[in-house]
Amino acid sequence: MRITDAMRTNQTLRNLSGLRESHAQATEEATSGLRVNRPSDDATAAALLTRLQSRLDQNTSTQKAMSQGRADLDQSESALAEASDIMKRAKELALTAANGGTSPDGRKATALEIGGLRQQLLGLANLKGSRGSLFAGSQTGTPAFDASGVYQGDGYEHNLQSGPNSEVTVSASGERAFTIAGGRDVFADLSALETAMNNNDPAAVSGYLDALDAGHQQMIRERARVGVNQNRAEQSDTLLTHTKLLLETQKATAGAADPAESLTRLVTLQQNIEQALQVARKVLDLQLMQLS
Amino acid sequence: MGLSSLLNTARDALNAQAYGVSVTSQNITNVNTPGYVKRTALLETRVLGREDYGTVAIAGLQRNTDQFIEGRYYSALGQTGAAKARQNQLTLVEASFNDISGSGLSSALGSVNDAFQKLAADPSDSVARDTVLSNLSNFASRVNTVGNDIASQKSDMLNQMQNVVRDLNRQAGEIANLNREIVHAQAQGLDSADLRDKRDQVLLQMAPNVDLHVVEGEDGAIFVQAAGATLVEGTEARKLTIGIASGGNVKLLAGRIGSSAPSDVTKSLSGGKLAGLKEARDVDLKETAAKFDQYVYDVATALNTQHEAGYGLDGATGRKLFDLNLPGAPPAGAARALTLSTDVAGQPSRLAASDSAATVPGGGVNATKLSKLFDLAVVSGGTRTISEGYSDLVGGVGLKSATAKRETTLRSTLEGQASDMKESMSGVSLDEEMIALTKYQQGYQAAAKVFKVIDDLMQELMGILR
Repeated sequence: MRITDAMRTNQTLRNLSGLRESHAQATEEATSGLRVNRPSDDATAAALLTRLQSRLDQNTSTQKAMSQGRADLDQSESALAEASDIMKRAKELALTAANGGTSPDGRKATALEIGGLRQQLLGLANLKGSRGSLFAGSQTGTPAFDASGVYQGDGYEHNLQSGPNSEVTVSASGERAFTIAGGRDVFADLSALETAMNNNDPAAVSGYLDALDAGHQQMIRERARVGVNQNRAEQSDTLLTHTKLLLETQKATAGAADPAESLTRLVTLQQNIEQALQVARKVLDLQLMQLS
Repeated sequence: MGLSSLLNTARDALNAQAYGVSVTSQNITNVNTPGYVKRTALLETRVLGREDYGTVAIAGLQRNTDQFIEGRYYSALGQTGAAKARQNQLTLVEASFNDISGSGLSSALGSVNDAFQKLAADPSDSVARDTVLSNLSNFASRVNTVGNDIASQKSDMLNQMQNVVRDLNRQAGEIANLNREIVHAQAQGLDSADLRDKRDQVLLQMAPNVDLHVVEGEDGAIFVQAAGATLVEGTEARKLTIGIASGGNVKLLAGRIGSSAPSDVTKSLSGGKLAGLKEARDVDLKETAAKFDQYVYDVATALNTQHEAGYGLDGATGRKLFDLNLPGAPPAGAARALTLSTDVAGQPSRLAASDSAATVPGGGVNATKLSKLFDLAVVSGGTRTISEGYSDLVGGVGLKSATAKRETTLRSTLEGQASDMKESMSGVSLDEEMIALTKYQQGYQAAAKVFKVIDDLMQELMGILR
């Protein structure tokens, strides 16, 4: 084949530009740490990476939302624990007041303490969490109980997505813990107890002992439910963390470049270019004209 | 034979070698001129009556060309032109669907899901509500950007095609004129090599833009076909025009002699930038835009339907999240038309987080359902989730772009081979020219020597006479 000058320069140019292109790709891969930088680099991997990234995003969102829900659960749990203690204390006071040996003044003083405990319990039942009233169901904008202890909330339970196909209840039910829906209306019971003590009526006081017990139990039951949900929320969080790691690993497998491999390729290509440039100079210099 | 006749021989020899030097220097001068075809000086013997008495004559020059090799080269240029044009366009589309850097539409969708989950966690929180609206609006605007980018790219491509056709028509006119001049020169027995070079240069400019077929007639004029239609016939050029067919696709029309109605030659368009742009516009982008419209329509419809089932803080229901004022039958145009619905725009309290009026404001069942929509198969006819549907789009565009890249690489290699073949036939080799130069130089020196010998002889003769 007859070789002309243009053929030599074109061939050299084609080879050099091919090397430069590979070098640019290798540089991109080495500096980004990614094997796939655009969908056309590997369409299947790009589609997979997009899916994995969106699952990772969803996972992170779920974890963030759940952490808010878990804070509410923790707060509800400690509020219910305190409420149980109040009921326990109320029962102890009632036992003392039911005793015939207690003086009328002693009963009045106890009544005062019961009133205080009721206020304390009301304060706990009206606690606010991250989304408003903790125990008011969906009526988060208003206190769960009014001043006279009447429930203003509803039976709504707040569920949050804890994974692709699961939900966890992140609310405690004020209705079940404090109102007749759970067995006893604890605020009415405490009010009645206070009245019986003020009326110096030990028989009536002792009549409320079972009611106080029942109220105490319903708070413990609700606390146990919250405990179960706390566990579920924690398990979900662990699962989400594991899933996140797994997804990140899959992402790296699908799209990340092997640093050693990409660096080796980059260095090799750099040497190739240097050699090609030297050869090109020699080849292009090789002319009869140079000799004459 | 007399001495003075020998002087004529020496003169012819000097002329012939000087002509060789002149042709060689022309070759050297044009070593880097695109389209220049190497010339060879044609010398022949001139016999004057007797076989032992002859001289050299200049028979003109020869352009080293081969119609078959040139045809292959034009075709290779056309195929590369088509592949490059398509690849360039697909690279642009690909950028709109590149989510690997984490800043594309997928991340906008992720933010929408994140906002729904935040809203579910605290349905009465005004910040969570504002976040939902702002993320929905951001999603809509990203979708609009992609939709508009595709539409404006399509319109840019139409402009490009019109420019290409304008150039082709101008170039066809130039070729017709050059044909006329070449035929005229040949008829007069003049050298037409430069005119032919000029004509080849025009053909070289045309070849990457359209599939050219060139046939040379006996009179030296060429017959040029583009997209199967006659573009130049003798001294007459016909015009190509770009039109829009009823389905919105581009059509290529070729003028006919003696007819005012041009014929549609779109189907025969098989190479060049025109074909690449047409393929990218009417197949690749059209398909991508249609899939994207369908996707956006599916996502918007799924979110709207779920949102309509919920209740806002005011206890009202049946409100949409997105408005889709489509120009025609759905889903065409969905990507460009998607906007945040006037039902909720600027009214965060209207976001329907609750599933009943009774559970307002703290109920978040509907917000949870909205966030869980992202895990349900609601797009592509209920077969893919929102993220799967989007990844299908990304994969589809990536595959098209990768195929176009491979095609460009292959076509460029073939073009390189065809170019080498053409160069091998018609290109200038400085080595050869240096040798030729030396050859003609020595020939000239030898002829001069002949001249000197004759002169010496004549001087000798004159001396005797004196």
